[in-house]
Parts: sequence; C-alpha cells; structure tokens
Amino acid sequence: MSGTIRVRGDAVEWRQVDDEIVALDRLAGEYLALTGSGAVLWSLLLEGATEPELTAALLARFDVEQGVAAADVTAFVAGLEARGLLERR
Amino acid sequence: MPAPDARIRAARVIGVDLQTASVMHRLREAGVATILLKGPALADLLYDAGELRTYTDVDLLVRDMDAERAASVLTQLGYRPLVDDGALRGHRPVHAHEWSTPAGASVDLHRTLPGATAAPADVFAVLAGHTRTLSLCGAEVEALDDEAALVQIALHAAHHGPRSPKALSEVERAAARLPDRSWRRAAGIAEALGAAPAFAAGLRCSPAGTALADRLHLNREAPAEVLLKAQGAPPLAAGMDWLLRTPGAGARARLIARTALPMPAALRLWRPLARRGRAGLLLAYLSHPLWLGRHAVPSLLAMRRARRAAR
Repeated sequence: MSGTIRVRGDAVEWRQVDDEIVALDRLAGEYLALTGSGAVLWSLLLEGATEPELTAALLARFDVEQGVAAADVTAFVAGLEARGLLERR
Repeated sequence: MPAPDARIRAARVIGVDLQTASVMHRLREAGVATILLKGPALADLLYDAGELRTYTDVDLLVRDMDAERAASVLTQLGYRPLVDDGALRGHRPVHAHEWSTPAGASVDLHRTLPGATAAPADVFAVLAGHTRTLSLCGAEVEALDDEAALVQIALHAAHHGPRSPKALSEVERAAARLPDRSWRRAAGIAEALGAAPAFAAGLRCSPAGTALADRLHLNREAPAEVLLKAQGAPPLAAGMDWLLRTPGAGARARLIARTALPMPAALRLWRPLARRGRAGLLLAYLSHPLWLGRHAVPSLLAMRRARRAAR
C-alpha cells in the first residue's frame, strides 16, 4: 500500500522521555514504549510520511541495508495498523 | 534510554492528562468554569521536548460561587473529599480541597491561590483574564497564560519552601527562561491578587529567583505566615501564628482544643499517616500527643522569629 501514513491523534496519547516514546493505545488501553528506530519512525508518523520516506529516514540514521530497513518499516507500520493507531491518505 | 521508572512516570502523566481533560470537560458541561493551574500548563512553559514534568494530580481553580456545583460533579465522577470545611472550622482556611477516587486519581479544587489575600471571587476574576487555550488529549482546556503561570510558580514555591525541591527548581527554570518584562507583568498580577509578598518570598526561595526579585525591586517585607511557609517552618508554626491572630479567648481556646483532639478529617489533612485506613488513623491519634510535643518548641521558636522579622 502507498500514500501518506499518519498517527491517529484520537487513538493515542504519547509523551517523549529522552529519546524514547511512551504511548497509550487508547483503543486497547495498553501502553507502548518505542525506542531507537521505533521512536524515529514515530516522530515522522506524527507529521505524516510514506513508507519510502520512513525507509529513507532509517537509512539516514542507522547503519542498515535498504532491504532490512524497508522490512522493518513494513513490520512497524503493520503492527501499529493492527492496533488501529494509523490512518492512510 | 530512560530508566524504567521514567516510563512509569510518563505513563502516569498521560493518565493524569486524560483525567484532567475528562474532569474539565464534565465541569464545563455543568456550567462550571475552571482554570488549569499546573500539570501540563507548566510543562510546556518550563520543560524542553523529551524532558518530562512529573505530576500526579490535577490542580483546578474554580469560582468560589461554583465550588458546590464543582463538588457535585466530582462526586458524580466518583471522587470523595479528603476533608470538608466543617472539619476545619476555626482552623486556618485552606486554599484548596483534595478530592480522590478509590483508584487513586486526585483533583485539587482551588478556590484561591496560596498567599493570595484578595477575595476568592476576585482571584478568579483576575486570573480569568490571564488564560490561554491548551490542547490536551483531544480536548481544549483553559490554562493560565505565561505571566499568570509565573505567579503560580512563585506562590507554589512560597507555600512549600524548601520542603519542595521541585517547586524551587521550577522557580530556577522559570527565572532562566522568561524575560524580566514577563516577570514584571507577573508581579502586577500578583499585586492584583493581593499576593505580592508571597510572590516575592517565593522568588527569594532560590538563588536565581532572589537575583530576579532584586532586579525587579520587589519588597522584602512579608507577613509572618508567608515567611513561615517560605522558610519551610515546622508544621505547627503557621497554626500558632494563626492562633495569635484569632480574636477572642473563647475562639482561641476552641482552636487549641481542636488541635489537641482534632476531628478525623483534620488529622488526615495534617498527617499522611492518618490517611492509611483505620489503622493509620488510629496510629495517628495515638501518636498525636507525641507529634504535638515533638514539633511544639521548634514551631514556637520559628513562629517568634517570623513575627519579629515581619514587624
């Protein structure tokens, strides 16, 4: 799937602590802790980004191969989408 | 990576913010205007992204005339007051009442600010002219604007003194972050609240605040009650000062009797031990004479020093 992906503001509350994101999934009533690449992707998803843009951000920040970065992005986005925390436009 | 403890604190802050948005929404629906005094209202003023301002309760200012309606709404939401006005008859008036749920959610309902001598209705009217709209958990809430928040920060420090390192550190942060012109406007708001002495005393609780107070030429004089709080005096000192200011031998005798043998609600207010169920209350009653005896002399000395300094 393509298009811009964005965090659903009505579904999640989050706070940044140092480089980590602590978020409350309001739909499930569960807290999530996002560190490292997850925190980087989260900050981009707040503004809205495409999967290629997310992958490029990982490649710029971490020493990782393109295929691995793309797979990580797909898995991360799928995990949040399964919780209903993202919207696509 | 932050310590696990930081994650827990962040999770609690999210919980309190959700509670704040919900309670303020319900109060607004009931026609009760509220102003958010602390919590997230101070976080974005004093802390950078990634820095967490930790707080565990909600501090709301309501109009004095709306206090009963606000209490009714909180009761409907499952909150119960820690102490009611009746239990404190004759004692020093409190600036806020704590309400809590069995699950531990807590709301401090303020009718005024500590250190403000203006009538509560006037305090609300002044501060209602110094608010901003804050987006919180999907809701819009009214919070103090920057200058009024500076007043709150200074008064909070004056109320707790060295007993609250956080309150003092926030004076330091605010002194470093906000320009003197903002502080001058804040001093004007404090004056309108009848809180100028407490405002100055709160600033003088920290080195940067003292330098700021000197630059603003704030008065060093303050009533004994303000000095006692700002200096972190022993627990009975402010009560002793109140006793001496209470007119009439009968009223003083009743106040002494109510202090020696307080109602349970008053004991819960004064001593956290009394809040720990029936056993805690019983222990607090049993140890009350010892508690009074332990604090009597240091409190008396602190009170006398403060009254001399206030002359």
